[in-house]
Amino acid sequence: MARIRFENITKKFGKTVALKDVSFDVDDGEFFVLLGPSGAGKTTTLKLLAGLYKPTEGNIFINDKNVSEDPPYNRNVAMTFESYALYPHLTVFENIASPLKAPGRNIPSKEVKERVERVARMLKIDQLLDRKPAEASGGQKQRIALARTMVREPDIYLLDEPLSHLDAKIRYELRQEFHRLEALKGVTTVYVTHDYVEALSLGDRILMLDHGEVQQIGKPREIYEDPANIRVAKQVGQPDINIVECVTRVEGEKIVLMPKNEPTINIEISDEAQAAFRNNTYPEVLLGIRPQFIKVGEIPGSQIFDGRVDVYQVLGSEGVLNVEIGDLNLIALTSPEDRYTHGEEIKVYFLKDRFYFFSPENGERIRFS
Amino acid sequence: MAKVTLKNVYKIYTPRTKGGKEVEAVRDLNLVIEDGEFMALLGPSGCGKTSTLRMIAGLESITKGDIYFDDVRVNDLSSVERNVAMAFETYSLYPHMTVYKNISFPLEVRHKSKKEIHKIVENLAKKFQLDDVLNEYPARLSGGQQQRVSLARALAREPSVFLLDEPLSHSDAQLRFQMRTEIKRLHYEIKSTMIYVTHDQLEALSLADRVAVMNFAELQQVGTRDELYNNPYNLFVADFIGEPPMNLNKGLVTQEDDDLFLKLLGSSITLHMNAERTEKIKRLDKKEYIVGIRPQDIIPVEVPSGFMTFDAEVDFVEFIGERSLLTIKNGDLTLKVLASPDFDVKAGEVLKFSYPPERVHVFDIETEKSILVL
Repeated sequence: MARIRFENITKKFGKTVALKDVSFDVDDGEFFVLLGPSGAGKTTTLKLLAGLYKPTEGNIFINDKNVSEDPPYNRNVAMTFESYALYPHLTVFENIASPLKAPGRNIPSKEVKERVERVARMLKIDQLLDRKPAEASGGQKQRIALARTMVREPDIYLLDEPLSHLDAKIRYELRQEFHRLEALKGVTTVYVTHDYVEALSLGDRILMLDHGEVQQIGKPREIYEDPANIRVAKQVGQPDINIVECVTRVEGEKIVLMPKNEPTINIEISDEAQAAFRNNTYPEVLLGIRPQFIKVGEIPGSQIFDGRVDVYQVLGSEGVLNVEIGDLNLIALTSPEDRYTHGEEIKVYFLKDRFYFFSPENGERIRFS
Repeated sequence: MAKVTLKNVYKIYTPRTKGGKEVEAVRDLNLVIEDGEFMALLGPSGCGKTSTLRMIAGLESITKGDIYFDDVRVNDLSSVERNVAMAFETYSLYPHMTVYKNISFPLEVRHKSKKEIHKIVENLAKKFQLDDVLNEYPARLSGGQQQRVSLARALAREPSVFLLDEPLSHSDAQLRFQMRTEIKRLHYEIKSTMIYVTHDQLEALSLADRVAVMNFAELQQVGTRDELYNNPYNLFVADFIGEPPMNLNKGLVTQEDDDLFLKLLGSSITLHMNAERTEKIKRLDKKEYIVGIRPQDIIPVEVPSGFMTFDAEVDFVEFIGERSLLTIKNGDLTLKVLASPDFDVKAGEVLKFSYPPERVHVFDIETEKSILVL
């Protein structure tokens, strides 16, 4: 049982500001993901929670108790590190049991054995208990590290990029396991990753961090579908969201967007967007279009553009099309069954209701109520 | 440019210590890479793909068998004589030379005129968007830029074969994506024979004209993306290619009147196949097979014609941005299904799922081969 509260935390290392006025709450039992590029401050946040760092300013609460100055061993949090840090000369059993054998714990060896075996069974590494870590595969090492974290039965799990060194297939499998692990349900977990798919898939809520600052906190769909700014929009989604620098201009009765590097075209926008951009409120905007909302073909009522196929790649469950509209090079997602050849002339349209607009000055989302 | 032919090629590493075992890195490899073709060598680490590339490059002796560039046997020719260019996993740029010099150096060694060199470098710099950094030193460049310099340098020599060894493995996901597009674009332009080693199936499938899948020193299958996807020769290829991976389960042959289908073990799901596979199963006359169906070939709605259906309960839903991934269950069996993120469904709902029978794959349990090649 643990709730976490970060209150206006700033962390400096010398002159470098790693975290700037970060505040958030984690509910009891919540799976809370810290997402961001490398250097965003994710691991610093975890280490502050674990008690390995002390905040420069602000307070950290666990269950309403201010723990900002408490040493790690008074917090009952367990942390796994990105490098598994297993003891190579100990068996897998001894590695998992090691936190229970810490001085002052005095847990009877029968109970140690039971707890290690229980968690090993749950993570499907019970057949490895007598071996050395070197004999385990990458995915198994990860699970051994996880078992060592879980065997303590802490109030809070802190997991730092637990899947990042594994190949795609094992990541995928372990992600499924995280969903199934009863032991993780109900225990407050803070999970650090730079991978948006992991974040969306696992998180009850996501905190998107960049440059030491909170960019957005929300449920997975909010983060993906309703990004607060251009940094969030770029961090989640692959291929990257298309960003087109545009000038807003009047074209007859309409307000349209003219791409700066392709002034011969006007992009039509929704009525709400037109209303918002009237009276020159935003002389320039950044237009964001996710690749899945650029379509090949023509449908009545849509604005149709003449495009030319630049590069086309068929992946597993989708095709990725780089299409040129004049000097604009945009990425579109297609069905993997589609086939396009380099240089082919195609028609393209956008789903304009799915457009995002960002301010060119600060990258913040321009919203219309 | 050249066509590359590998005939019964073996690579065997002899033990370094007395009593050690020989290691067979490549076993009896036969592969033809056409002039101008983009071929990827794909497989997990230790499968023999890099040994193969190094034998083609002339960096590694060929234990048995022959390699030809067009009609010339190159076994005994050096790398330089073969005129191959390589871009490696590590960029290995000359740190004390500017970008310009890095690209021009291999040309100077070959005694090209200054004017000619200048033209080639300018041209490549433009193509790789390096014009602004020609006078910088490698240390000042981003990872992606260094990679482009490495590629440009390899290309400057107009090699007959262009070899790339995991060139993108050190980049993060977003940069890999951009670089992949560049390499693809590059191949449109230079049309040279390219051989690309990777463990990343997305890279292989998206870039190459054909992919040679290797495992345990042996070639498993060579084919286009569609061939590998829609007709995997064996269980390894079926499982290795595709993300999320193919659903693979045991299925029991069941016959009702003239109708033959496979019942997935632990569930009440029965899967029908196309006529070709159904006929094959009748002839093979075995009781159990491994049945495979890809998550994107199961559709969480009823589709009218040409599809079959089964019922299953939604176990959980993962929203992953461009798609949703459903885990569905029937009895003790779970399957993965890809759905549109707009598809509104909750855990616990029972739905009808559709699938095209021609996308049901069947493998022999003992040999692990597709029944189509048995």
